[in-house]
Amino acid sequence: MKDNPIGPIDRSLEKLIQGFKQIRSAEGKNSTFSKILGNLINQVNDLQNKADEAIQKLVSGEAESIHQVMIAVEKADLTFRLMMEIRNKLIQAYQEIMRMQM
Amino acid sequence: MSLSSLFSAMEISASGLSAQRIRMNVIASNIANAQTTHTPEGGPYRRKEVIFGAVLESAGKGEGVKVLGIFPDPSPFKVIYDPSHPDADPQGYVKMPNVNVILEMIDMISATRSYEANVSALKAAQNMALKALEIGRRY
Repeated sequence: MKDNPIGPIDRSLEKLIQGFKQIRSAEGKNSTFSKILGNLINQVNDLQNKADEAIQKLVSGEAESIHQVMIAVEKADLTFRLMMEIRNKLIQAYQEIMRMQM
Repeated sequence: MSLSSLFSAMEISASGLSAQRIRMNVIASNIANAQTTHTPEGGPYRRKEVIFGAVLESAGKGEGVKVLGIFPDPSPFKVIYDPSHPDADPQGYVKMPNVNVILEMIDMISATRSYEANVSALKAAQNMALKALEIGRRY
């Protein structure tokens, strides 16, 4: 096994397969990928709403400080970017699979 | 897992910003009342000071800061001799607030700088998050 240069790749493949098996077994425990993703999107949406609310309070003069508004907006921006990054990855993976030779 | 756990550093800096703003308010009222000889409690204005305390956001996520209270400065009032002042006692002495405007100015500079430091810490946390998002990019 020591002179086999494919050894490490072999092992990582095995780990990957085990990971897939774990994901499949987790599906039964209602934590499917789509649910996790839905949860993430809901949280991003929540933060967007909070930022909207903060801005509304600022323009109506109810806000107690400017920095709270700015931080709310910044949180919304960062989480949205995170969501977009995940979406880009997903689409990339989908396109990669669609390009597969049959 | 909640997304808001990503922002504990930002929350801590935000607590610092709020605390410095309250400190700034107190300094402003000290400067504004440097010549005030009448207050609702009676007597001249007494200088106020903010006391900060650390609050644990949650275990392992650092501590934010909170204003524990605004307390009066117990040092004695300044007494000046001014018989023409309406608040002068029969001997002609007037009790003035125990505010030293120069010290208040120094405190104000310190509050401004602390606020800026908190903003810098917040920006660093934000930049770290943005850099982390770059991990997934190929281009």
